[in-house]
Amino acid sequence: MTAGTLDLVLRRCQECGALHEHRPAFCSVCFAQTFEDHVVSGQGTLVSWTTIRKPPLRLREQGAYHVAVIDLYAGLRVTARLQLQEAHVTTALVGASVQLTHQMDGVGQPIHVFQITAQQRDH
Amino acid sequence: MRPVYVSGTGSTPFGRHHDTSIESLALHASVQAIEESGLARDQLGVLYLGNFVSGPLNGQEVLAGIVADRLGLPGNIACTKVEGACASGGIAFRHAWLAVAHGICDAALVIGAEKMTHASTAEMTSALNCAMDNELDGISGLTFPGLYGLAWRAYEQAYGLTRDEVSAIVMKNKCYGLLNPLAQMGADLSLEEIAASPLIADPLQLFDCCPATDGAAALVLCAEHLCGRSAKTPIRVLASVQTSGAPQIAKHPDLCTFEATVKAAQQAYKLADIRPSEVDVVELHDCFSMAEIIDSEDLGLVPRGQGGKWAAAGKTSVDGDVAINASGGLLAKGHPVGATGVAQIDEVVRQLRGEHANPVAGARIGLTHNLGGTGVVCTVNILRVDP
Repeated sequence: MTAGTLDLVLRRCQECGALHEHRPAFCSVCFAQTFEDHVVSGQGTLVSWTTIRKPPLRLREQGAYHVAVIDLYAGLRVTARLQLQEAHVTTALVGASVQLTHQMDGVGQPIHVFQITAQQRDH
Repeated sequence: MRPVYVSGTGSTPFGRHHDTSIESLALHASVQAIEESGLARDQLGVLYLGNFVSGPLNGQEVLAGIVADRLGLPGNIACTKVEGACASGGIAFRHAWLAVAHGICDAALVIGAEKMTHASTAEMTSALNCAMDNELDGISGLTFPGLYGLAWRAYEQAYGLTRDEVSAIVMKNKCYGLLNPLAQMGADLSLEEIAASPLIADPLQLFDCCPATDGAAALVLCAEHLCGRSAKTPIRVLASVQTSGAPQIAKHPDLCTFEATVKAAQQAYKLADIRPSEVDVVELHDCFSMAEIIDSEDLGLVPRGQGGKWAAAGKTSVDGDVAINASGGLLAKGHPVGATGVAQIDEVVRQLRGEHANPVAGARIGLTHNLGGTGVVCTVNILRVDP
């Protein structure tokens, strides 16, 4: 886990330029199989969020956690974790600006963790 | 395509059946349906069975063949288990309808079955999460209650929504569950009791969630020339449509709608040659209270942004503009996942025959809606009692 403010590494299809969050077997747009890393800003907008209080078995030890849907400024929508300060738990607003701060180990791929940077979109 | 009719229905009560195997639940519902149809077993040409988690939770697959064998169905007929998460039953129905409509056989047996209450909440959540794209969505820790928690906040932002509006749906469906002898969890709840229940996936609370359920339902479908074998009124299937949608929540451009439902409804109305306003009775997929709001709007029954307000105003009650979930829905009748799509049709058939315990007066046209995963699969059926 790395603390700080991060950019996000996406995969870009070398044939058609489509962006993918994770490396797919085939590009869903053109069926190509070659991709390159594409670094984008880790900033985005909070589309919605929830607090999971009944996690599945494999995550039970983590207790409650927040999951969010985020629109990256780079133009891709992702599902991610949201780290909320106590003051934001009941007041976090849809449309708030968020920033990727670190990544957690997932099953074979990283889980992105975002934090709110401003309660209103700041760009 | 030729006309297809529902001529036999059967269902176990929904609830806890700890001493009954999933095969036995399916058998109980099937025998009722076959007997009601008046058909001999050797007249059944195919069997489709909807089920989702019998593998992980019961250690039993190939249910279609096992149930056919125990029912003594004719040897070698095609027996197929289908899976589409919560829409498994709806998919089974549609495939049986296709077989009869296209003349592959003259009669078909459809079964939906699930047994899940013996599992712990964490085991069940893990099993149900198999309906998520776990490579791309599930990795974040998202659950299905979480999906509707996300939808609630997005909808609240887009249209405005109060806890009391959502609670109106919970109160309606739980109250109707008290009237349905097949229902698992009817209740007379107050706004205060609902608002005081524990949070599950904010803002979703306990009473916003359907229970885990054991149960089975079955239907016999047949061509017109076999309808007379049943003593019951045959109910015509005007349309049976299946669509697909985005398998990941992040691929939904709008969290307040499921494109698979919108498309399925549009196709079904066209095939049935009716308008949404002609539908009298609806059983839709209220796995969570928030789902009833989204579904009722996606089906074109309620104007966009008005789902909660219509429920609060009583417009979706049995004596309202359109009766939604008179059975108690998944929230109160229960949600034995693979059985639900078949059971919804059983409920609508009894409404159209005028036999329902919570009747919708004068109902002629009914609609069922079954949604799977994060909106990855949807079935919509339209049924009519002929004059």
